[in-house]
Amino acid sequence: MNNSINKIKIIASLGFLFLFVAFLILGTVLNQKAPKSNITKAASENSVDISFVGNAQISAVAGTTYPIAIKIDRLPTTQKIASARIVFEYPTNIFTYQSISYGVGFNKSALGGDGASGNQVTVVADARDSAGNIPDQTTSFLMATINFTVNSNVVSGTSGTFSYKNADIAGENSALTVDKTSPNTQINKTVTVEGTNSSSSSSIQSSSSSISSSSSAHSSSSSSSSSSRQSSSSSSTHSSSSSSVRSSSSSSSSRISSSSSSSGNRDQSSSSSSHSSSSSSSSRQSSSSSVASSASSASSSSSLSQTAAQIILKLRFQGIITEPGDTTPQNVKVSLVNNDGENLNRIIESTFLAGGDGTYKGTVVFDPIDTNAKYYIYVKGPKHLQKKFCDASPQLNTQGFYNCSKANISLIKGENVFNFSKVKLLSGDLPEQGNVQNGIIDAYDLSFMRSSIANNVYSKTCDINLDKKCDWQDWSLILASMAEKYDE
Amino acid sequence: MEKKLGSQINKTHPIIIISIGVILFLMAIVLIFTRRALTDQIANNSQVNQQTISPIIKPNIERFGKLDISTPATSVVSGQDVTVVISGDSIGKEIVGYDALISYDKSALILQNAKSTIVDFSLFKFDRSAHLSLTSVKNLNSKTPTVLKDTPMIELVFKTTKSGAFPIVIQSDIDKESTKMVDEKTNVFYPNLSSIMVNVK
Repeated sequence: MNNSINKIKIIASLGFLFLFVAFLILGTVLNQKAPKSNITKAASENSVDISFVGNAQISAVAGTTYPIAIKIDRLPTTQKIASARIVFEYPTNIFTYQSISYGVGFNKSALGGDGASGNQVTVVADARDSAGNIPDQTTSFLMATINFTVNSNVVSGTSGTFSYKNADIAGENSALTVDKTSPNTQINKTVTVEGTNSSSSSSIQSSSSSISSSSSAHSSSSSSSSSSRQSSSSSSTHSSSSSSVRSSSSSSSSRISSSSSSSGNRDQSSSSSSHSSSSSSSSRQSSSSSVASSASSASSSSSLSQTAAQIILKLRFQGIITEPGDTTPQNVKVSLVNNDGENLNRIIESTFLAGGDGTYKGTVVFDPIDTNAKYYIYVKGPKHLQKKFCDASPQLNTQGFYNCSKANISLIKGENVFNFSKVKLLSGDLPEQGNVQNGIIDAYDLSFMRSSIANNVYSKTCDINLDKKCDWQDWSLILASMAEKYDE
Repeated sequence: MEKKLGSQINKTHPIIIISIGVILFLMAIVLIFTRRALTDQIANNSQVNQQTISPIIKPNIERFGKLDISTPATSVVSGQDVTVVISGDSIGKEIVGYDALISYDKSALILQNAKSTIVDFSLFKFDRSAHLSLTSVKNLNSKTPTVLKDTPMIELVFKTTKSGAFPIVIQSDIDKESTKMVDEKTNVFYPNLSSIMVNVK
């Protein structure tokens, strides 16, 4: 009796096992036939990716401008974005909110509501024109740039996180969502304070000048004179081979005033510019503008003393030979490359202040540095081509050019003062979407300049010589820069 | 009775062994199916990734207007010059500037001259290592609207140095540069592009 019960149990167990396996097979087969990819695609067609563009290291110096741009990847949706309200959180222990500048194709929404509140900052962008139409949009673009300044009490090593919170995005046909699962989406961006906190506490105003937002229209008084200076009609051809740097072009405005003095425990530049004068009264000139630093984990090849170097640079922008009419501090990117060609991710943006002699002075900090290495210093102005410097005291050749190939700049711990003002930084790489430069002078830069001048529309972007006008002088300067066209 | 039961139990042993064998067989089939499904899924995923990532690397730019490249003589004798004309159509838009990137075999064709054939446009040429970069802008004092309708824009003259068939291509993007047109409102648009083959005998 027991045996027959056991037999039944065994057969029943086997039956259950058979059924289990049969269901497994059936499930697998059905699973294979299910249109998984379609489901995924359907979900992502109504979504966009969002990410941040900005340095991971920020200057410890109070007042330094820190811009962070909001990048939207529209793929794979085919819809254009009509409007967007996106909320972010930012580290208030590091930053003070300053402003939002909207990218090309977007404006601040008429509904308002953008700006900061508590630890949140809201971007409210609208792409529609007055007729309600949405202009063409590229698949990937910078929607807006949020500008912060660094707080006065931050210390090196402080970290904070900038993070995406939520968004209401209207596509041209339906609502869009942010695809948080996309590898292109960046929910958080951590920034770290690096460098020395020096005492330049005056609030330095952001000098960003987005192309989309042209500021007040000044009537240009010089358009009438342009015809006499421009080559008239008939096509002309200019050619260049792209290596040498011009330092010849000029424009003139005649405001000569007091100027600056630079001090440091090691002035590696031997002589000053011929335009410089030497009184020391300008209060605006008195403090170093900002110190930025980097913290690349990569270290240079030699292992000896890697210490912080404060580099004080004196620069000259093309077309500015005396104190400019517009004395807004200028954002300059400086990078340090060692003689092995390693950039070490050391690109630092800092504000430079105008002096009475038309030069600009600012400070950057690189930490650590190798005091035994030889470096190149690359400098890129806010509307300028990048220039490479190999020498502590660069000298122009007989043609008035400076170019170099061998790194020959040594750095010491502490202050390093370099006078690069003999070499003009050529203008023409104007900021575009989200205040980003593309490293070349292209048809966009030339056309923007031309349209501004031809239509008598003033903006900081087209005012190359900072005389508060966009006129034939600026046009001449950008044409002169076409001898170079590319960043070095 | 005990003997009978014992023999019944002994008879069930082969059934159990066979059943276990069948189950193992079925489980093996399940495993094979599962593996195949996983492989397919990975393949699908990689396809999806390619679909989403590749356009980001090389975005599908919406094209507007066109740049055509042509030559009066598609066949020349080595050593002779060949003239190439680039024409444009801006579909009603008024153009104030453009960039054009031209790639060609520099060992076979040597650029002799490049000039703008549109009056009032200045042309800047940059002979890069692998391509020719052309940037053009309308003169500041020009008031004449420039709307391209199969309008010759650029004339290039190359000297041929060896025989063979050599393409001359208007490229969309090279490094940071792109072929584009800019209208009077500073709107940038990217035209459709073309290429030609030059036969050198």
